[in-house]
Amino acid sequence: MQILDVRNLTKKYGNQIVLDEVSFQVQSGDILGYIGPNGSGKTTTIKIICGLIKKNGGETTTYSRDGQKQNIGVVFDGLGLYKRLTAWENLEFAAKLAGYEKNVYQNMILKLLDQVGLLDVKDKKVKTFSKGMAKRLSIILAVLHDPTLLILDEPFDGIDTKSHRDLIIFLKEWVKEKERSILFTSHNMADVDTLCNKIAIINKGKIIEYSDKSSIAIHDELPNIFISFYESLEDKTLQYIKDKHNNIHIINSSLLEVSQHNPKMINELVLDLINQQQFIKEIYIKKKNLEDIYLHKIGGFDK
Amino acid sequence: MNKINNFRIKAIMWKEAIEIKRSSLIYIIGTIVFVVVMQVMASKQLLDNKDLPVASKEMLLGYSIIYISIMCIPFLGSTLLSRLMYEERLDSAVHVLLATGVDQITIWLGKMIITYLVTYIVFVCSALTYYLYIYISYGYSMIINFNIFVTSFIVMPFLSFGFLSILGYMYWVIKNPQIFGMIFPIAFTMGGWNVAIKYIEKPPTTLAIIIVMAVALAINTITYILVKKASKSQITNI
Repeated sequence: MQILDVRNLTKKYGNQIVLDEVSFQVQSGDILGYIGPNGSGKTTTIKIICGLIKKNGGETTTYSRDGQKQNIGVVFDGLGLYKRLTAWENLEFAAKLAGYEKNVYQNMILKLLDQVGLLDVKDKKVKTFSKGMAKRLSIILAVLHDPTLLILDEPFDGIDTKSHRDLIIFLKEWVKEKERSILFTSHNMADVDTLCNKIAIINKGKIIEYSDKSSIAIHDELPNIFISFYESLEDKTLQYIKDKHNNIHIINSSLLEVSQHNPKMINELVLDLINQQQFIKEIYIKKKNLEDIYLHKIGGFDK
Repeated sequence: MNKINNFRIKAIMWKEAIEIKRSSLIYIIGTIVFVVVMQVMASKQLLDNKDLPVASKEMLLGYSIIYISIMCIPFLGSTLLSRLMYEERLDSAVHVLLATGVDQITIWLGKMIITYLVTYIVFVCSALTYYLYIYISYGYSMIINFNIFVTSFIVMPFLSFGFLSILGYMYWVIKNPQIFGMIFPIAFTMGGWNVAIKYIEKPPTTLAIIIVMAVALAINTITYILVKKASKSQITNI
């Protein structure tokens, strides 16, 4: 079942195009990582989906089960918690807004607080919470009314390892148990890799990659080879190697990265290095992870 | 107003009541003390006047309750609205409500109604404290006849609520509303003071009361329409 359909979304501020024909879809059960550098248009897209900013063109449609009115749950970077209220009161407010009866929401709130480890601090005011605790609270606040789509803007920014791990487990279980969907933005590629099944990369207002995580094209490319040395190479040696061989990236004077290689090229390079009296410490292969893919895509777009 | 909006308005009022209790209780107590002290000082000349008959003094003291409503409601209301509306826009809390399907008019109404209620209760408490202080300290029992009651407890508060609605709209929609929060209560109190003097000089006719009430209702209605027409982007753009 389709949950979110974004088609040809365009947003301009004066002459500046912030979003340029952005399109993607979220299906039931999807966790879509919406990633891109700062200022690429991620938060603008989210705010348009939530109806907080007017668009200049295109369509965003959210679908819900049984005509549910509050079909979106959202956590913005600013959290949206009421600091003078306790954790319980924040959740009680959300439950009252959703129209739940007291005997229904009491159990729901207790269960959610327990799931994210906040039951002991339920009667403490939010202003006394750490950032990790506040993030956990804001996420259960967003799912309290059982939305079809949960939108998270930088949900794991600045939180400790335990809170981070607890939230990832909680979100994965929430999607699996209830067949819900998540659209989330993050700068941390490890989070995207762990949590998402789909990825959309946006740069300068344009979607430059949108596919299942497993089928991102660059996964098929050869892994990079790294060559490290016992001692730093001299500048003239580095220049010689770089001039003679293509696709060599000097990471520092004792570490080279070789991309787009073939066995013959590697042999020739190693022989050259030996002839230059350089002592190789290690040659190793590093498989590209999502962060490498992301950086490649962003860099590729810049070129 | 449909059922959904009703329970949401109640939920917002419940939340705001807690926020007011925790953030503004000292300010509320301070307002009551300040207003009563100011009113007692202003009535000093009248209280010390030995030429006026007691009945006239008690009547004039009764009319002076009008001043309490025009001091109390705009000043306290302005502070509360700044906290409930502008602060909530500043720290992005309202973004989440608007993003999850709660419309702007429901939130605005919930905040306005609790502000009306709190300021009215504070006004009544101030008037009661003033009444008791004068009775205990000077032995005068203020006369609150029908005209005084209607003017002090219905007409002037309604007009003040109209003013608060405009201020509520500004705190809710305009980008930099602080200047209005400073100027409006002073301007309204000065204007209200002049109206009050006229009322004391000559008790209002039924027509005058109807006109003032109609003006208050018109202001509230226009503001309601303006808030309903405001876009979510206006509210979140701060």
